Amino acid sequence: MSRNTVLIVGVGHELRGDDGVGPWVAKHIAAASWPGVTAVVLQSSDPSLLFNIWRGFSFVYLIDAVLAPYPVGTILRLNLSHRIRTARLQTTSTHTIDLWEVIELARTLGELPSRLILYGIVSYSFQLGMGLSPEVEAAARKVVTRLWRAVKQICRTAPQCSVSYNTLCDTR
Amino acid sequence: MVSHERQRTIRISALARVEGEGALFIQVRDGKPMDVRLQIYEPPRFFEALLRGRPHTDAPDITARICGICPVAYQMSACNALESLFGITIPPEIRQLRLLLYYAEWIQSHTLHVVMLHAPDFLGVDNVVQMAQTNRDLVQRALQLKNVGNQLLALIGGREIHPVNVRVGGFYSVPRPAELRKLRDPLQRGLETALALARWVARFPFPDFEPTYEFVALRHPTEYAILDGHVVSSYGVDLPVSRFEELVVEHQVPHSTALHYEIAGRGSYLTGPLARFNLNFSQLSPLAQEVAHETGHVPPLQNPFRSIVVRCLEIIHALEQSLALIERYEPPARPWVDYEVRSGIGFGASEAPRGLLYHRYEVGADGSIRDARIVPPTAQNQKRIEDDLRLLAPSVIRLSKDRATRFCEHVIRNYDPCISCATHFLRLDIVDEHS
Repeated sequence: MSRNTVLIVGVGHELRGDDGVGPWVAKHIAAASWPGVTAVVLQSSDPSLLFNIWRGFSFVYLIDAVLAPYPVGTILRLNLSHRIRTARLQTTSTHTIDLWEVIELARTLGELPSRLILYGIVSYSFQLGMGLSPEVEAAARKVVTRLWRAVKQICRTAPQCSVSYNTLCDTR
Repeated sequence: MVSHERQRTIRISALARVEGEGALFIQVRDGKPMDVRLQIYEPPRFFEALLRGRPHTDAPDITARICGICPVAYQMSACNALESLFGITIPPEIRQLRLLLYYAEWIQSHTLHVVMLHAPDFLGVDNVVQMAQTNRDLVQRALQLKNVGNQLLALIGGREIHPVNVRVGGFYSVPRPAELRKLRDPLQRGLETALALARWVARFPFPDFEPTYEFVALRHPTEYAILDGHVVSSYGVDLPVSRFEELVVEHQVPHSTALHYEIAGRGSYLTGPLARFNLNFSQLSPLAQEVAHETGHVPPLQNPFRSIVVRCLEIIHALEQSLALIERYEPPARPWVDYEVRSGIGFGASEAPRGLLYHRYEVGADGSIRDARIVPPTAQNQKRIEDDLRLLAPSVIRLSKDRATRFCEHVIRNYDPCISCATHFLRLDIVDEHS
């Protein structure tokens, strides 16, 4: 697996309660230094920065808090490599152009990574202050585990990749 | 919307493609606007109170956090205020680097607004995604242009959003000439894109609407004011920044968490690109002026819908100036100048992408901030936006709900409001009462 194979982007703001779930996941993965995996936090009011952030990566995972009519802590996995013809998810962003527009714009311009997965975690509180709701933190841990499995799966198709399971354990 | 009844109501839940959360209420009786309220309900963030008691050195970094789109404006106005209080003279090399940083912010902010947010209004499409389906090349080039602004911001400011390299007296560190010169080619390509953008938007269909504005902006003796200057208006005002508060009157209104501003005795006024353009046109870069004449956009330009063209001209200006600054850039001997803290009150202003941004700080002998006052451009324009919507209301109520919503949002986007700065989506209620 080349150095720039897998990118994990935690979208959100740590100072807005459950909106910090994306950064929480990205930071845990960055701290564990999974080989071949780059983890970053997008805490900006400008998600169009993603155009630069994901350039050169083949596999991109976005982790973000979402509002959806499901129980808090529900993990929604969406394969964004294909256009999804379902109701649009409402993210917690008040950004000028939102994450969804950036993804669809990238698709229109042919600048979408070849594989783009969104893990949306149904969240509850976006009040000022740090800390995740217990259900959201539990879901965040599950997402880290799922990402680990996904990275290992990618490694099977890229034999030069070697990732130690112990590394994952350090993050838990 | 229910028509043919005594009372007509339009409710729209959210204003899209503006920075922040707000709502619009319009009440019309017998075709006459009775009440127009731009309701900003984003909670106030108390930045001014947050600054009290903190070291003055925190002001550039804390106030930068007010806005993710124009943090440099906050840093520059804060530095101007404090540096004027402490009697600091900024060496030309540092001043030029600050100009370059500020141009970078104008490039990325204006490009974001012109292409991602405002242009879809003129083309009758919902958003930039739909626009990109028929204008793919231009949108792609615009994203690259915006990226050049971001790169310049990151190089000088330390990072793209909320730069961390600005301090009272200068910078913490400065780039090497070779680092800046790497950006010459992308900036040159950006200039070609900006020219194409200006010629493209100048052909948009613009509604006939030319209210009489009092324009307010900074003016600088030798340059198109951005970093500093004195306060001028189209009604003959010419004041040092320290007297800005004598010019304007602030009001609290029940429907907004942002203060309203008026010119004492005259009413609402307009700050921002259209004001700068009309007041300081002769100081725009040669190429920007040439394109302005070529496209028929020269002062007096009163139509707020044409502000999209002016933003493009300002992008051209910023790119031309940036290229010139990089060409002659010599790093300063030291990134900052030392200074002595003195107690008193300092006043500063600069031209944020959205208009004049004023700061005032009272500092104690120990260097801590005793009091702070920040007047962002969107708060200043809020009353003017309501006045323009009032003028347009009779036309708006004749439209269908969908078209009324689109039109009102379009009007509001003419001013590129940053509601987060002013205190941020829009809900629109129109009530039409027939007596």
